[in-house]
Amino acid sequence: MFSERMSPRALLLMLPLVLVMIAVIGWPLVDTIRLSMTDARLAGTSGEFIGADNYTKTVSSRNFQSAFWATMRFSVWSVSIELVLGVLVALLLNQRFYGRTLLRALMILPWALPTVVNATLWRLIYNPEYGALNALLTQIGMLDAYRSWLGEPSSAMTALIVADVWKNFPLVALIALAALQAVPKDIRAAAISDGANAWKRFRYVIMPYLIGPLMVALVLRTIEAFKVFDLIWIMTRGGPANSTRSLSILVYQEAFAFQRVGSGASLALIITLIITVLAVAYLMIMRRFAGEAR
Amino acid sequence: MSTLELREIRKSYGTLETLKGINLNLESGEFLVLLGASGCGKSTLLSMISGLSDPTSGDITLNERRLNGVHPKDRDIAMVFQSYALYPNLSVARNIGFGLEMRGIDRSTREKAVLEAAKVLQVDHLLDRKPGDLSGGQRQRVAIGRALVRKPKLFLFDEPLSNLDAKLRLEMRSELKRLHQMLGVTVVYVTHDQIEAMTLASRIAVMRGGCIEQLGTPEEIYNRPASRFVAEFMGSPPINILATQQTERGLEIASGAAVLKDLRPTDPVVVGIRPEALKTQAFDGAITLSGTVDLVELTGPEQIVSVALNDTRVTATLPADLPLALGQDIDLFVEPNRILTFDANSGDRVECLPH
Ligand SMILES: Nc1ncnc2c1ncn2[C@@H]1O[C@H](COP(=O)(O)OP(=O)(O)OP(=O)(O)O)[C@@H](O)[C@H]1O
Ligand SMILES: [Mg+2]
Repeated sequence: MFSERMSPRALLLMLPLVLVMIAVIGWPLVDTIRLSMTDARLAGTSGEFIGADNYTKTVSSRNFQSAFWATMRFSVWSVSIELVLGVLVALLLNQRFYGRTLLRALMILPWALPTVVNATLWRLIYNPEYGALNALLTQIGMLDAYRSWLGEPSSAMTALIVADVWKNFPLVALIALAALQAVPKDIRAAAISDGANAWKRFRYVIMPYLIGPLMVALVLRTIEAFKVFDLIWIMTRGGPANSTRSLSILVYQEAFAFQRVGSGASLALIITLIITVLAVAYLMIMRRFAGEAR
Repeated sequence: MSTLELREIRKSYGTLETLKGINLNLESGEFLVLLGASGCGKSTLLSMISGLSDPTSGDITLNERRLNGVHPKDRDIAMVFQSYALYPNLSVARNIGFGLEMRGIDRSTREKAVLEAAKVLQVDHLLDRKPGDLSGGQRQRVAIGRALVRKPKLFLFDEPLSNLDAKLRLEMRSELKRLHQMLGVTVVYVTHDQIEAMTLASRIAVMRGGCIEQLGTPEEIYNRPASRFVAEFMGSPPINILATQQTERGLEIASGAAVLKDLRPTDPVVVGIRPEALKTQAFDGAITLSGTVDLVELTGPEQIVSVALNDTRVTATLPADLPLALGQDIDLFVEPNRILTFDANSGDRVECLPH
């Protein structure tokens, strides 16, 4: 990582930044690690050292496992749909048609909204009594009686995923659109006169330019999705029957609702570890693609 | 046998007419160069021949087959781009064979054809590399190979050498000439480099503002330009254009620096004299221009000399070994038939026969 040109002077110049990083990231991290090995509670005792107890308990607990799989379901589905939808929309918006510029601008809107606003908006749409979704589905005859979309374990997660996709596919589309515009016109033309059909052109001409930026989008979105908190908190609070309780929500409940700071800290560190593993894995993939797309 | 025929090709983008009626007949085996300034519609014309865009009106036929509306891949035409346009993540071999692969040609036939084309272009040792690992010249060879392997009836080149450095451009130019002579293919080649045009072309079409200003052999274009525009476009250093005045002595050039007794144009004209037509040795029947040496630039094989004549200047290319001092008087001699006359208003070349 460090090049041989890293002189003492360079290190010295970086020192202030390093100190700040240690203060705002390093120290809290160390303190969280310490906390995670105690039975500290939010109010009262600062806790006794109990070693790795929190970790073994956490990992084997049913709450953790159900939250882990809920988070996985949420992340995998929303990120995959966002990627596919984003690329399709980008391909569409890259065509020449009347009103394209307006549509491109409009597309950004959902992404520009704060998550809180988006979550509130979708909660209204899903509202069992006066929500737009119920009204729409009954009016076109696809639904006989109003449903509580967020109140039923069978539909709550899907409803959350839809809300997340709606907000976040524009980011992917934006990144993909920028990448598409970098595809040289001549290469497209060459592929057309070489006789490549639309799929082959996508595969051999567009993909090489798309894959790098898409990887970046994938990393960003996966990490974000894995940390999801506010969207779920506003729409379902992890319910019904904990079916949408993500890891972040579990951490919050553990540390603040149940006031078990020690075990909450251990849970937070486990999430950090998972995300670090994801990030490193993606970085490795990206490096490979960067080498190939050249 | 006529290979490519363009009849009244027009192209408009919105209200703007980019091509204003192009007519062209190309014989099999010809090397036609489209030459013109930036924005005159060369690439537009090429993309319509290749089928990447459609003309607003007019007909394109290749070997008696009408091409309007035919998909680019079915036209038997291959194009080479200025930017090479190679597929970045495919190997050189697959790049060259891509057109065959897309047409469903079987693997062994394809590999044989790719190797053959690669050998002709001397890139057979690079077949496993990616385009990113090649030099500019090698990439251009691969791009040409990709066109070659399809054995098209017509090759289109859009400024294929302009991304290369000067030395490589020279090398590839000779290479293209050699290839053309060896394979006898028919080529339409776009450039705005007049040397490229002169050296490669069997015929040159000089384009200007969406029209063909003149179509002819390099020799015709250079020595008998149809207009002042063509004359000024060709040649480096550029042709000298001098104003004239009709007097009782004849046609005076450059405020009387020389007089052309025999010329009696009916309309106002300007004259054009190529720098290399000006000599320092007197000969029978020569027209004399007297002036003073103003600037001397030695290029190596010759010197480019600027000579002040009254209120104007002419440029002459003279032998490098001629001793010249700044400010010295000099007489330049030119054969009368190497003086071109152009209508002062329209720019068309006019023959000024003596009355
Ligand atoms: N898709 C397009 N839409 C609108 N105008 C266009 C389009 N393509 C080309 N033009 C216009 O047509 C004219 C001719 O363009 P063209 O690319 O054919 O020029 P060129 O002779 O190839 O120039 P250069 O030497 O710079 O490549 C230009 O004025 C250009 O602005
Ligand atoms: Mg062009």
